[in-house]
Amino acid sequence: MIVLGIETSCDETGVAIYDTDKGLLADVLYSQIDLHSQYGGVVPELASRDHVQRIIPLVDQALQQAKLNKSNIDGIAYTEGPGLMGALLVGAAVGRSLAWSLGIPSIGVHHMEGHLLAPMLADNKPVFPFLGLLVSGGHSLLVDVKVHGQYLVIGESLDDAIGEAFDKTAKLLDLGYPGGPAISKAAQKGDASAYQFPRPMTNRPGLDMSFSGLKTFVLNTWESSDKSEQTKANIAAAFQEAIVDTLIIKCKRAIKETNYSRIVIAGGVSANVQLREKMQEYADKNGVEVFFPDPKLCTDNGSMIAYAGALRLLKGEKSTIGFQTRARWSLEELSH
Amino acid sequence: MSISILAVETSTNACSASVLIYDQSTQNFNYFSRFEVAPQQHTELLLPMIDEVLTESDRLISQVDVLAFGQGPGSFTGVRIAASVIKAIAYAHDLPVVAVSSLESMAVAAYEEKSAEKIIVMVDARMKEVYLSNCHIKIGDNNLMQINSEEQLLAPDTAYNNVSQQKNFIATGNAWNIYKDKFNALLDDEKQSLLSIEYPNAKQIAYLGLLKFMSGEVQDAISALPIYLRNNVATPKKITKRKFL
Repeated sequence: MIVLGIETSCDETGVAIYDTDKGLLADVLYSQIDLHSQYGGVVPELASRDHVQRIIPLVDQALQQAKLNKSNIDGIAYTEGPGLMGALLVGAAVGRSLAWSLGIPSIGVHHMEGHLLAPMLADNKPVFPFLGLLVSGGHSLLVDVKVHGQYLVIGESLDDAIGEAFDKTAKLLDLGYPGGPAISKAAQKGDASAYQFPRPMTNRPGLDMSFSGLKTFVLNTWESSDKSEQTKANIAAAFQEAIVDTLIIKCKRAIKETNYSRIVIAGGVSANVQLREKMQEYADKNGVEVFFPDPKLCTDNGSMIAYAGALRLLKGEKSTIGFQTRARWSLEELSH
Repeated sequence: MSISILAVETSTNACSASVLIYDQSTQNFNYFSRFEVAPQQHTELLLPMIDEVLTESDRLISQVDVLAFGQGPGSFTGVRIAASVIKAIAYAHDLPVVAVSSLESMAVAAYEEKSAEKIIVMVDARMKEVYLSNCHIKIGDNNLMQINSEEQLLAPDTAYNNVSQQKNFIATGNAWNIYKDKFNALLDDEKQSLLSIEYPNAKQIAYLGLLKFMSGEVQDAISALPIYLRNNVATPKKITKRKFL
């Protein structure tokens, strides 16, 4: 089955083609980072306007990359939510209408299921069951994944998502946008041991997380510092280390609780090199396997939507003729 | 020889779809239409409506000659739904697209009820502004309308200055009522009268689409886009929403 995947939930227009026999045939992406950077964050209306301009040329480009005609496509997957409503609507309208026109089935995909399953597009793919750690600009979740489609959220951030904490901290230190790569880059020149930042919510039991206090701690540290470039780098390094340590502590606990031997880490923050290295180190020492998506599939992309959609289309699931989008949508609602 | 057009319009709370089959030899118009006022339900309604009007007109989507959509101005999200649906259908079947002004379609609806050479459409654009369209309509040699219009996004005071210099027109659109304290003085029941056309409708989008198609003003799946008129939607360095990854 050849599935076209469309992703427009935020500021990236992604289109990809996945073949259930041959794997990924095409992946094209347009990132709006430059468009939004001058505003210090994503402007939903501008994002939606850009999606509507980019999407058809990207679909065409994906077909060319895969050397396929429209008539070769067997199904279409589009992101149904969660995300920015206006942005989601463009991808859903195009995906659903294209499928209707071509007389093929389509399916609305949960964006976070797309991220969670993205590591399955790698050569070394995880099998069920596993512990999922989803870390992105909108979400920080620990998920008990028994089988495909059965998701139990066993821990989540009570306030800021991790990506959000990175963005806000980068803004505070005037390091630019998006915050994740900016902090990592600055941290390379810094000494993490120069400061001891808290590892939030690790001194008591439980899997929930909190990152807004850490951000305040950074603010106070920065305000009372000499504000030199070296201090900035040191703070970035200490902040990154605090985040990574916290995530590892939470994963350890979750592994103990679930008795699973596999961890899947996905979402934008899973591109973080330090997180990958330290998590791998922990996994190797503890007889646990850890899986990450290909770095280029950590941020939003059409491939993960095509893949997650293909699994559901193969099960015979499909959207009705009318379509919907959901700004908010819990991963747990997919379980039945 | 006949021309068949599929048109959609979702720039307001109303959702509509229409197939127009125009027989050039008999100059006969045959419409198959659906129209519903259904806020927030356009995504659920539009494709079923398209399906129904095609079935009634005994056409497959691939047999339609041209696609038309109301390109606004209107609800930003609404015009993107119509544009996205039509772009996808056009791409699937390599069909030409005509983008039609939603305001002009309201002027055509007004003309159908009360023939008047000048029609002023004024629609609430929120944020204390209005969309204003000055339309001139007459019937050409081929019995089809000839339309000239000019559209602007204006503050009500500026719109008032513009409209107050005009005489002998039909007024339509919701802004005449919303700002009635300001505009009622410009209306009487004779030379300048108000006609209630609440929403644009795919039927007139189809008609205008036919005119544009016949005059060669066609676009394709890539080039056809909504028009917003309001382009100042954000100020630099102001975060309006967090990033979802």
